Amino acid sequence: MAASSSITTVTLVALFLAHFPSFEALYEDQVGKFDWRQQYVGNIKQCIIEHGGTRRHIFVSTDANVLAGIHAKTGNVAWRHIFRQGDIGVINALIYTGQELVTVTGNGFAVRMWDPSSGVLQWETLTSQTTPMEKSQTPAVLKFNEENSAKKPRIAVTYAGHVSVVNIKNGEELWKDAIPNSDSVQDFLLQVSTDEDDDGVLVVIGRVPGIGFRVVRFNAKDGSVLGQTQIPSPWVQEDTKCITLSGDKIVCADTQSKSIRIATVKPKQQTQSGFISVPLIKLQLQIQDFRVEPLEKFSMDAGDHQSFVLRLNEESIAWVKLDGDDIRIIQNIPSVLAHSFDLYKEQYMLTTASEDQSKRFILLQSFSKDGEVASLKNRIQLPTQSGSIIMVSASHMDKKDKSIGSRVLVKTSDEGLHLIQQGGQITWSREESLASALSVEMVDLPVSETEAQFEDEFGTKKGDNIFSMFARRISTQMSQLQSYFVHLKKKIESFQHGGVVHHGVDQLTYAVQYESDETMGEYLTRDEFSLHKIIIVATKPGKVFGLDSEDGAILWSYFLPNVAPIERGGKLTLPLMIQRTTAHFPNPPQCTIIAKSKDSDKNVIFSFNPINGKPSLPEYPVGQVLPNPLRQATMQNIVDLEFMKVIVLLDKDNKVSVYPSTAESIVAKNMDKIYLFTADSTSGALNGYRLLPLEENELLKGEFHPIFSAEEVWHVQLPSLLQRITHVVSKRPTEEVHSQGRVLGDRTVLYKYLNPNLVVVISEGEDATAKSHVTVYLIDVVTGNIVFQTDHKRVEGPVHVVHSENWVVYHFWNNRFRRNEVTVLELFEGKSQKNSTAFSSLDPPSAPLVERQSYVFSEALQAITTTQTEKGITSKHVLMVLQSGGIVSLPKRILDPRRPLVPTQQHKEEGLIPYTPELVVPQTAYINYNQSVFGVRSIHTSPAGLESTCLVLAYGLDFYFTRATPSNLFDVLKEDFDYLLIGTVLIGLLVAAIVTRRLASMKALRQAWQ
Amino acid sequence: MKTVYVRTVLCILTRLFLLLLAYGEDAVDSAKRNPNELFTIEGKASVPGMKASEWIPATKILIDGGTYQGFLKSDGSFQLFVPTGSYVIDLTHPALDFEPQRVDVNSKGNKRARKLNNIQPNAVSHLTYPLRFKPKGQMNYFQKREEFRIIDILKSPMVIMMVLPIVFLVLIPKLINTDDPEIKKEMQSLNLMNPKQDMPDLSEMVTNLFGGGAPPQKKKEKAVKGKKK
Repeated sequence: MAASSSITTVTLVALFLAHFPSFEALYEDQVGKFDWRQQYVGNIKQCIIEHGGTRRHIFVSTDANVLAGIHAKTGNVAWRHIFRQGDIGVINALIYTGQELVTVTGNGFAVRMWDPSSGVLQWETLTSQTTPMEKSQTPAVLKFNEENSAKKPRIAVTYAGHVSVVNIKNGEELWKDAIPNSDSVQDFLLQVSTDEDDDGVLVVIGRVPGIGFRVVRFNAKDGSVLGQTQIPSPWVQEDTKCITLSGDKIVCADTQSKSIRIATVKPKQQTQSGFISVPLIKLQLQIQDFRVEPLEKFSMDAGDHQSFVLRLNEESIAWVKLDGDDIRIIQNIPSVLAHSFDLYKEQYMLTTASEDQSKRFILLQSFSKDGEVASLKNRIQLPTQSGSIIMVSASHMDKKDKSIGSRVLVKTSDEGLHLIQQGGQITWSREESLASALSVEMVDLPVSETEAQFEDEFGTKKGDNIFSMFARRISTQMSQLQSYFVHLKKKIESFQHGGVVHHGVDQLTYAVQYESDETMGEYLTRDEFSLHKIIIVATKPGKVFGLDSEDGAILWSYFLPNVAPIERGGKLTLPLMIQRTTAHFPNPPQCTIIAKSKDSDKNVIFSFNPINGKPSLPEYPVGQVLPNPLRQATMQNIVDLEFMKVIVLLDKDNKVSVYPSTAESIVAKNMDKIYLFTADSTSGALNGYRLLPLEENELLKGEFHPIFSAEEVWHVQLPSLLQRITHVVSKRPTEEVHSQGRVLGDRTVLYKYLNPNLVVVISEGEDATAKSHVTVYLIDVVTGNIVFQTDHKRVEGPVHVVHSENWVVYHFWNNRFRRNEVTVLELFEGKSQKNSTAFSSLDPPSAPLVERQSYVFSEALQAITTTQTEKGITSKHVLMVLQSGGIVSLPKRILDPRRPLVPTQQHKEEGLIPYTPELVVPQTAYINYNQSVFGVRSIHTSPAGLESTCLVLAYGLDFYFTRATPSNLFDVLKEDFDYLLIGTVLIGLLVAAIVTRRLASMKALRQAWQ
Repeated sequence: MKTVYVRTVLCILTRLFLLLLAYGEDAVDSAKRNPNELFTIEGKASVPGMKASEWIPATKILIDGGTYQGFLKSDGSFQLFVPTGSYVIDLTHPALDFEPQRVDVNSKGNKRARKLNNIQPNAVSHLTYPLRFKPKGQMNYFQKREEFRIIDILKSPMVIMMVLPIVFLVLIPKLINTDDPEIKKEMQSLNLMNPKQDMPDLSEMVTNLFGGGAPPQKKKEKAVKGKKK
């Protein structure tokens, strides 16, 4: 009795253990073994090289609303702050005084001071006490010193018709005043002058297009209005660029009359004199389109310099100085792509960057007032695929030997950043375009050459006889043996040198530094479990990267200067498709990008080899321009004779063409299997199409000519007055589903509703009572049948959704209860299956059973996805990137709508966990441990060759790559597998067997003698 | 835009109405207030046993998961600027575990802090205001590796497999005094040492079947042999 009861307890414990969901977790010694993180800052808007303090940092503000300090020595991010997305977080000005780093954000809404070395906030002052307006004009920002004393630095900012002056030392708002008559002002200019009293005067100049300038003078100390005046100047256009200079000067570039207009703001006189015009012809400068630029942004030129820059055209500038009412040229420099000024020993130094004829080298030059500083001239070769220079920022300092030295930061049109030390060495490069990665794919590496030959052996060619096949086999095996010995030799050599053979990529600089193609080719071969892959990243500026999945190093990059991303419903996309994988030797793998042309509405299609980044069609190095703008491009699961998947292009006139064009006949054969659908986010219209062959007379000759027309077969109109479609999520076409159903407690099977054509459409908006509202539709896109629809009232986005197998998980903010929630929908066909071999949307099973459940989830999300494995046997986990920076791996089992409130024996047997309203995330479920990721745009998963393992890449401002093993490593021996123990036990058993045998025989002998 | 406007107007109207009902006099004062007015939530975080420079740069403040933003100052204090409403304020640090708090700001700018209860959002359990944040502990992201322990080894089935037979082989004969002739006899009768004696031999069975020779003799011989031993 006792024994039987103990057995039942044992089984109960086992059952309980089985029911408890297993969270995958890391061991501490696995840190950094197969994961890596890279931090980016985004497209640089403004950068300052630290000249005071420790000179360790470079401060940058970027388009991604990021403020960061970058180590000048290594190029790594020392500290970083990510402001909120949109206008509220935009960084308008970055000012560095030598001790303080000040930012103006939200179009003048907030002024903050940061500690330059640690990036910690020192003070924060808001210029307004109400929530920021949706649209506000760019602020005018000016740093000045009160009473001309460096101990009293002040910052003046305009915001919403007011001007505020803040003490830079402590953040105290000294005064704030409304600017009279500020409506209809396009933008403001600020200026300080000291000629009046000791207090100083802050002059606010409002530019009104077509009328002129409104000038208000404030006492810089207390903000009292000293006077108002107007400068009528009807030539002022919407886009007229004006700057202020010391000595109360306003300088404008009048592009209409091709002249510089100069005015002096007269302090006390009632009658304000107008502008004096200086035609550029007088200066003997030939220009079409020109601008004026101040020497320093956000602060007055030092010491009555009264000089400024005339940018004459894209390629030349002139450094000029006001001379009374005239202009004198200090330096006239033709062929300048970018320039910058900095103060060196109280003198302005001009640094220019230009390209030479071959565009392979850039030329950096430094000019002082007196002429070029020859010792600072540098000729530098930037990495290939960098684009042209668009920004330069320099800092001059004394070197140890008291001669002048310089540090120059160059930004190129691919959003790359390069620091150049004197002597023409690139200290480091940062590929900031990666921060705006739009699509990511992972590609298997090719098998090594000998292995490929091995596969070749089984006679791909006809006419191979058995002897030649045998001979080939022997030869390949010999070469395999040979390469193994070479490999062994290298290993021994490297062991003797006492180091690990690294493939020569310097991680810190993210730069490509391969010595030769040979070593790279050898390094880039598939490993046993295909865990090592190439990550293809397509970015917003049109640069494509191949990253090494082992350490994130850039293996290759390719810059397409002519493309821009496609904008759909406010989202930027850059479709990236793997047309042919590496599995089809000797055909090379091929990836294709579809983008918008930068200078027209047309689309560009570009194919490349994902392993080496070379264009597949060398005759089109920057892609081919399609004749008609596209509505859609989809890759079909149809391959041509060379195993290339076919891309179907639907253009604006609903005509369909095929890429590659050689596959036209195959597509024509499979025409009745291809259905297309489009969703218009603003109008809420969903349309389904089928293909029809074009009439003979409509056929055009030439590449990318349409061969089909798309005929609308269904149309669904979603409510669009107050709602917009925000998500259209289909399943991954490559997804493998291992199990067709679920075994219930009573041993019957509940079959999954596995409709490959099912798409989740989510629309967000408001309902009739102005309450926020989210609607979820599940639509079969072949027939347009709305399979399921659900509403969430008083619920707000941003919605994060993942769709896989027969389930949908989505995350949203519940306004009513002020918490985040996760809902799961799971679809079942029922206890019988209509067709067990294939699913047909045209002959569908009856409406699926939809099980659903919601949970409270305490965290907000950045992105969500699901794990994906080779054969889909491994249980699925949902990966969530939290706003707090963690990546959490939650078993799908705890997001199961069949979780019962009151569990019964049958539920237990089915393996269901009882329902709990809140999903609690254990700390061991964070797969990125303390490597927090921020600014994540999306998370991508890809199966490895090992069934248990899934490769994960979160990308955005931060890149984080790791492996996820949802069911642990069930198909390989554990890392900590105790070989020693099993060995000793075996040997022990063996020894024991021999010893006991001998002992037994001895004993038997003794007994026999007795 | 229009709907937002309608919503704010509705919001103000209901608020006004409620206030008129409740206070009457205060309503005038409150109507003057801008619904978008920003209020300051103050708080301070401290981590005992850690230098400020070690944890402050890596700590972020999340308000409702990122709808508003705030930054820690070098002494751990922070100020958040928000309109009236209810907010979840959380501090995140890669290695420290802070507990989120809920702060309600009413239209007059009065603030109260509560324990965050996601299941019953209306439950009130007050916390101190200005907010105080202290980590509950360190984040523990890692599973523990199994340590090497003798007990674990002994428990492993392989070791049991190896040890138990030895125990049987070595210990049991020692426990029983084999020299005692009675026990010897008993053992022999039990056939403990030679359990196969009673088992019918396969070859014998076969010969029985086909030949039917002299199996009993053989058996006897064997038995004699056994006795000799």
